[in-house]
Amino acid sequence: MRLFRDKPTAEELIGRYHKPLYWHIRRMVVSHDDAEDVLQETFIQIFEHLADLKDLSQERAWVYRIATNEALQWLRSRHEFVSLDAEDADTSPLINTLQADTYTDTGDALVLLFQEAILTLPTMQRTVFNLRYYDELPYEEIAAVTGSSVGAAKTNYHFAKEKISTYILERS
Amino acid sequence: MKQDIFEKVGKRTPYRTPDGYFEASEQLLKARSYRATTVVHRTSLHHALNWSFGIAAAIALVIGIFGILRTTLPTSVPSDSPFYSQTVSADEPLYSQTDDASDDWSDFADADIFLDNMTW
Repeated sequence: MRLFRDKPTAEELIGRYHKPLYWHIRRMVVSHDDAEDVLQETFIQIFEHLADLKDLSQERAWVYRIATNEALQWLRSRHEFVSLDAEDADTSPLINTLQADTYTDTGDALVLLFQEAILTLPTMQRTVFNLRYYDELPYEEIAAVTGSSVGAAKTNYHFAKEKISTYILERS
Repeated sequence: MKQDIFEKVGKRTPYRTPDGYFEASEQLLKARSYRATTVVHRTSLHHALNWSFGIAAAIALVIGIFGILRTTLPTSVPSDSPFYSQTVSADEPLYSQTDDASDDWSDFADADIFLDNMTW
């Protein structure tokens, strides 16, 4: 009988987070090839720093934080993004990537427009929105991932939804 | 109307993956995880061995120092010994002893049963 929770093995982490982290990263960097590279780097960081994970109840927030940082770092290296705090980050290259990527289904116009709307959001709002809407993380974990507060996460999510709705209504 | 947009789209995204991508990617990650955790384990073991050797060397040094001090410090002379009052150390050169002390040593040597029985 397990009385204490053991630290997860690498295989367990891969099994639990391989797909969720891929999609989270993909929604950040848009391109499949780029998401694949960032995902590999993310798991390398996870394996190398697994000893740093002290509070096992924060495992999901911990791995998502690593993935988010790796995605942001990649975007920064491509000069397509500045920081989580940037309000006026230029996301047009990401929209171009969305439309040009081989593994993007452009069949459903509303779905495509919805993603474009997300890509126009400031990075913090975009990250918070994705984590809440798609990954359904609680606000406490979102705050841990983004290094903000629960209140800020809720505010960012609310404004993100407003902006997405406005963007789509203006174009449809 | 705003809520309709979210209800219509739901969790759908336009993002797709190549066929079999996740299976292949998972295998690659597992192979990399073995290498990464082996390196981390070896590094940890290396550090542990370094610490072990260091601690062992420190203990050996302390034991060595004590050993040297034991052989160099003057041995205590039993109180019933005729030489107790003289407090002669075992390695005090003979020439520094007084004549009386030397005579006492000679008498002691003559009385030594082991020396007496030995044939050279």
